[in-house]
Amino acid sequence: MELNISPLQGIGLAIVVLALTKTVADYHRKRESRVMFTFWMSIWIATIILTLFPETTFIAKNYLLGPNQSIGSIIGTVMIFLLFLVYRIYLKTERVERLLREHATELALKNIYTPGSKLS
Amino acid sequence: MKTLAIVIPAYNEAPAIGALLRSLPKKVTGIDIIIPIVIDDGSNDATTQIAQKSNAWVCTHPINLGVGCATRTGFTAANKHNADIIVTMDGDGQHSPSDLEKLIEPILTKKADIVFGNRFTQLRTMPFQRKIGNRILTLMTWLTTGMRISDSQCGYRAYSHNAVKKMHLIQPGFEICSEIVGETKRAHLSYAQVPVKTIYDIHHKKSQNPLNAINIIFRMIERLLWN
Repeated sequence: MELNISPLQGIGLAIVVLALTKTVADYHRKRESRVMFTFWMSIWIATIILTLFPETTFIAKNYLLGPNQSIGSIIGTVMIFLLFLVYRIYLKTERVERLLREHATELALKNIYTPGSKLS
Repeated sequence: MKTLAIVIPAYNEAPAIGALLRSLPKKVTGIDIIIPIVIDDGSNDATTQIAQKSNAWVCTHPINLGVGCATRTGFTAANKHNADIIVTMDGDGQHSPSDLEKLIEPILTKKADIVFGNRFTQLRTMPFQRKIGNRILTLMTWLTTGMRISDSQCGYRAYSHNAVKKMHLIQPGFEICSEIVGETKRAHLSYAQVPVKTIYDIHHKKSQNPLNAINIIFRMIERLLWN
């Protein structure tokens, strides 16, 4: 099978391979659970296949939706999934910021300077 | 014995904080003990050291958390020491200590739980972009809270001990000014408005990032809808 990779496909592949190597490294350093490692590896491998063999998108579309449906439904579903991920990230950062503020405030109150104390 | 805590959130205010602390009154009518409390919000200059040398109580945040967090830290510190009245003022010396007595008078006479300072009687001295920004935010505060406060963004305010206990404040940044207005209504607190002077000199001409106003409006809407 001959592979004709355009420059755009090459750039996309390079980014995905980088992300894949990061996922593998995180798993080896025990920063990633097995479930999340499997999940992300599936995503990256599927992306590599779709990038190298774009015609597989039509095979997948025909299988999932039937030959008379457009690919818009799949794109819409993917967009919803991405929005959900962004929302999860937003919630996590809000929670981390709130915890950081609480701890920093506790620390400041614990070490309050009153006149007569040792100057910092 | 009536205790007045003066809470001063400060971020990189080394040029102004010493002079401000020295200018605070040593005696106030109706008050027995005055405690200045500076909240250094993660400054990277000598704000903490200057405040300590000026005999203020000083809480130092390890990182910059925002004026809302600094104000809440000040409220907690004041409540821990049983302050009867708490006044907040900006650390850049924009607010005149000579207005302190008239700011706390409604609380001492039990006519109000919260007193809002109003700078709009002294509009000549305020930079133009701040006038516009403050007007817009005051309008937004009215739209989101239903409270008609002439100057919703003035940090020079006085609170009774009871008011601070009843308010549930969560905003980390400048939006706390509007949040306090909303909490005044939610907690059914009585309030008064008092004209205060503003001092704008070279130090105060450092301008706020206009994008802060967008963030404040967003936070006010978020608070209205989901809190």
